[in-house]
Amino acid sequence: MHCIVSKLPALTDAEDVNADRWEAQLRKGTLELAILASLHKKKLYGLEILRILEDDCGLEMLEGTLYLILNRLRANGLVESEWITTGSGHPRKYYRLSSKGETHLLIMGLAWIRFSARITDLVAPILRNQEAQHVHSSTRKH
Amino acid sequence: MSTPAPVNIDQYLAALRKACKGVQPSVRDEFVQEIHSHILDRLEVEGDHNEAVVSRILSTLGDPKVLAKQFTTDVLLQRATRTISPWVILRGLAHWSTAGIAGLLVLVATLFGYGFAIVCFLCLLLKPFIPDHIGLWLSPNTLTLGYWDGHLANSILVGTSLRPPIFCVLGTLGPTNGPIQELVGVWIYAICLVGAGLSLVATRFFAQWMIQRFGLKKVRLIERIISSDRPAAAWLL
Repeated sequence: MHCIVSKLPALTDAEDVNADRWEAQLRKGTLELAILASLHKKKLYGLEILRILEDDCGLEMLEGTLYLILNRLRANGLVESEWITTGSGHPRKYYRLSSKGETHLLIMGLAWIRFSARITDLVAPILRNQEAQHVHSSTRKH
Repeated sequence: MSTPAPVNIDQYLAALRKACKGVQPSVRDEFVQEIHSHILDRLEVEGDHNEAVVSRILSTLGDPKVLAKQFTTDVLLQRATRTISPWVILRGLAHWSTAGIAGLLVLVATLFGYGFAIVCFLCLLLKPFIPDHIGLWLSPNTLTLGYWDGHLANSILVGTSLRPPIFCVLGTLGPTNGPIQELVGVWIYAICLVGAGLSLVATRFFAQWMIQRFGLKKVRLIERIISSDRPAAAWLL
């Protein structure tokens, strides 16, 4: 796919801004799902959640924002929290999924998989076609 | 290993605590403690605790005033969704209204709803004392629930007024001329009682639904979400 990207005409500034906004909106929409999913296996504290979001999902944000979202998730009963003091000396606030959060995560995950599969079915043939054209034109040049 | 720069961190946390106005002290302190814990975690990871590192850590957390404002709005809106108190609901909406037009519109609509309930209550209270001045008044172009000053020319009607096609106000629409007729007599008591009750309940549900639907969905601070691995024009993939 990267060869297609490299052959695309350069985007104007306005187009690039629109693309950025679209992608930011898309990522915002999936942030809650990503946070809940990160808590699926075990309880985590803020920095651990941030690392998972950055390393596994490519999501970066102002770090204070994570705590606002966790506060909302807790207020909605989707996560539970507790202060734990470990060997490092300072207490950390750990979050884990509540039973309501588990259910919510399953519903959101299912919706995400169905939706993303449909969009992929719609978009993938277009990209494959573009790539085939690119390969064809490269072959003719040689 | 050098010690952290406590002045900067303390200043950041003090600014955060100070800007969380209106939040219960226990809730505010827990939030500040959690941010402090995050800073300590980041310092542990960085290893080096010089001023530049501390400054970078604090900048990645975001402006403390903006963070506190969003947190305060969130907490107050969450409280507003779990209460029947008009004061708590209006307080949450007042904070939301500073964040955008949606909050402002909901605040205005909610004020109108509670205002109508207050007019109904005032009518109930005042009708026994000034029965000839309290009622549901129909003048040539205005329908008003509330007070009439008793004049036939340049008369003032104060309360909840409707004037077709679009005017609907709390207060007065200005002087009016012509015959004025009272429409409901002693039924005003029943109308005001039902009106006040319905208005209080409907306004509460409207405000809480709008908060759930729009107020608690937006996270303004995450505008800066970016992809760390985004190639040029990767939005096509």
